[in-house]
Amino acid sequence: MSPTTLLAQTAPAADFSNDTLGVMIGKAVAILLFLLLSVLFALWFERRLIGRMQQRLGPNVRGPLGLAQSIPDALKLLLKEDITVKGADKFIYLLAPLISVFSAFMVFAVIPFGPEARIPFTDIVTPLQLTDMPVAVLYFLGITALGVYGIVLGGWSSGSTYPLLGSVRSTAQVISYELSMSLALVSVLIVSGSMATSQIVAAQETTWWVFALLPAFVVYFISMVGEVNRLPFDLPEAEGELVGGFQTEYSSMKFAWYYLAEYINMLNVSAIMVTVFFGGWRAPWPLSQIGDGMLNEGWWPVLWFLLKLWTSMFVFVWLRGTLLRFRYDQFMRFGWKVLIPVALAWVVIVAVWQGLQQFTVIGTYDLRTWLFAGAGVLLAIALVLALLPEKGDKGEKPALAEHSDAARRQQVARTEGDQVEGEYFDAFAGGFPVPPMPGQKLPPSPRKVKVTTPAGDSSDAAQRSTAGTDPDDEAPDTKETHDG
Amino acid sequence: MNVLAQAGLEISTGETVLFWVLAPIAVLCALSLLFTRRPVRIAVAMIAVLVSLAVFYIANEAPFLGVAQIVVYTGAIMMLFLFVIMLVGVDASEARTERLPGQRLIAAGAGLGLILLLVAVGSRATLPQGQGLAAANADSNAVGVARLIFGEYVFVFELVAALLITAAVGAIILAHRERVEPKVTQADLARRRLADYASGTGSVAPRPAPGVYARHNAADMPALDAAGEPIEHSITTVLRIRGQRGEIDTDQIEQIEATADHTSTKEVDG
Amino acid sequence: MSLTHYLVLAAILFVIGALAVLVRRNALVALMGVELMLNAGNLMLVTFARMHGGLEGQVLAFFVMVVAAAEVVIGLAIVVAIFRTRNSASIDDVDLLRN
Repeated sequence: MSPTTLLAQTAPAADFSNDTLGVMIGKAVAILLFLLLSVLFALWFERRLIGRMQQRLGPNVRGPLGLAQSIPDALKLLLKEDITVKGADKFIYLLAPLISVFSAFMVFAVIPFGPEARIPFTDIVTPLQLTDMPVAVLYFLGITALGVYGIVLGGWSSGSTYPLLGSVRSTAQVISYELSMSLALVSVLIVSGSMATSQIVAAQETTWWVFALLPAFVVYFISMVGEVNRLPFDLPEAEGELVGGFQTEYSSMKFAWYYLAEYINMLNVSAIMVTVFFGGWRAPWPLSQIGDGMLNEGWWPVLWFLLKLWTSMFVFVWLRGTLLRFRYDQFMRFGWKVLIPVALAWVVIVAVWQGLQQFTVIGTYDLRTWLFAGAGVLLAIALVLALLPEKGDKGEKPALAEHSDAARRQQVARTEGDQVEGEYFDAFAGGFPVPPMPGQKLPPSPRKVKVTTPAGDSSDAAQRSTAGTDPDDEAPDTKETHDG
Repeated sequence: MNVLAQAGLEISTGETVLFWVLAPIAVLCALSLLFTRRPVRIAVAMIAVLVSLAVFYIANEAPFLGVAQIVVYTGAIMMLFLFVIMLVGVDASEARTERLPGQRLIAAGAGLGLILLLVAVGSRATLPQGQGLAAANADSNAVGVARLIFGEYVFVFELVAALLITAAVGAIILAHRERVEPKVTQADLARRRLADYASGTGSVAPRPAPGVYARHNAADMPALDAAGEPIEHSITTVLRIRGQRGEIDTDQIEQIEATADHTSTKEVDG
Repeated sequence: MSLTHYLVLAAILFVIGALAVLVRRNALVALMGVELMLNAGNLMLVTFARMHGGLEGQVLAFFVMVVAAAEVVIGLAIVVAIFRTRNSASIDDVDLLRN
């Protein structure tokens, strides 16, 4: 028997054999309710947090702490006029938000909320998970891939330019970021020896994979933000560029479905992240030692799972409050030239490592030593190559023909300004005014000279104004004139 | 057929229902390949066919293949199709004229022949009794398939991998365009704009929005300056070149002017 | 209901795909027809695997899937390349070798 199967068998899978149809329906309804309530809560959570980050209060009127604010908002959205655009492809226009929202609801079926627990007031003992399958992680990838059709088709069927651009962007985005996402997950699958979520959680009993597989986690985290179209990767719906992107022409209920799907998708990718990298429902380290693992049994795990889930949601909001949107070409370059190669290299490393651990029976030690030596040599070569100066990387950048002269002159002026002490930066060297680069000095402001001259010695004033040319220094003066 | 059903494999009622619900849907959607005109609709129908096939795979005890089908086909291949459809023009519906005379008839005949052939071959074949995959899937389907792929068929696997890489490189070469002009970056554009401004031909500020004085939402109405003259560059270049610039209704402007005068005098009065 | 039903369905889908390749003039739709034919073949393979109680059919179907992906990538790249030069996605317009 090969080692792979040994590994797969050592990890206990969730046992669903006792589940009756009623229990399954109950679980499904519970998940549905959980998702809907979570979305209502997430709306409030996000607005309050963003408010705090922007030094304002956020919604605080309806209900305690403004908690009920989402309900009137949702009702208002549903009662708006439902507009169908004249140029739309009606059937697909209606179908697209449905695809989005249905596939968003489907992912949580394979997320384990906890181990086996007894349902209160009954004798039923069942895993706190709707179902599990040997290919659960692939199922998640497939469902997210399906969900993107909602965005792509919605943008196309609106028959309008901005939504179309949004959906083209989203297609390219998903193709590239789903790739790095799957590659990041592959290394987890290799070390867990299974694709079933319950077994992946079981495999993290001693170490969470976030520690063992940090690079994979970083890649997954970045791609998951790209996958759910959140800032800084919200290019398909960039309101500054594309009005609203794919959802521009949607209103009322159909828009609400997109909105719902977006937030559920955030919960989905967060839940997968928690399950795959953060030990799923397992209690964090010091707590897991209390009372012989008491906190990893019964209903406690649900609490840990939810805490981890909402920490991830917090990070989503935090990112939105902090980062600016990427430009589209930067975003694609980052995906293809950074994320995918890193993920690929990491998968190879993990695969080799795992292969050595499992499949070499004779001379394991020797082989590993050799590999370490080889890796060391490679690293040394890479280091030497990195330290060698690259040739011809300066001044090659093509500029526009008519402005290249001006640009060069400006560059010359800048470098001279850097080198020659006491010489001022000529803002008009390129033919038009530009602000100074860091380290460049502006000539003394004529206005400042005029203001300070009557106060004392003229040469002293000139010196002072030379020394303080940065705007901070100048600010009090101007403020005074404004006040006066 | 009854012989089959009596064999070791028993097909559950659930699967029967699933088949009779999904199979007609799959065939109907597949037929749109022949009869629908808009490529995007065909692509959507194709997605439906592929997803129902994935469900059939799962029903046929191949969960790994079923999910892989969704990931590969809907996640990558059909997405690529949609991307190209949007790239080459969404409504590029084809000409109805036949290049080769009678091609449709001949094709229909060939299709009929193919059906007859398949039926003939199929009816003569002696199919083995269904055995099911309970034994083969004992360690879960994914493990069973993996054992075959990385064991007995590892060479085929590597060949296919080489093929895939070749295809990727080939696609890059085919779709690659040589850059004949230097790339215009955002910095270059900003520099050009400021240079235009310095030489007095351009403006640093964004263009004025169209339709400011129009009473309806009009992208084709030029904005009016303070003197009441239309500002031509407030409309997008596309509309100007197409000749779709809206005509300014002078009566309406006078009307607006009158209202404006009225309100201003009112303010003075108040 | 028996496994033969799956085979019949696969045959029907295969014929539809083949007809689409023969009849449709849009290169993209013709490519989708090829995809449908490959998928019909896959359904047959999976059904046969179940019939014979072995996983070889599924493995072969998996390889077919990969080859199909390669085929689509190249096919679409060719369509895009032709569209760039001739501004058309119709098979009929690629006729430089005609006459």
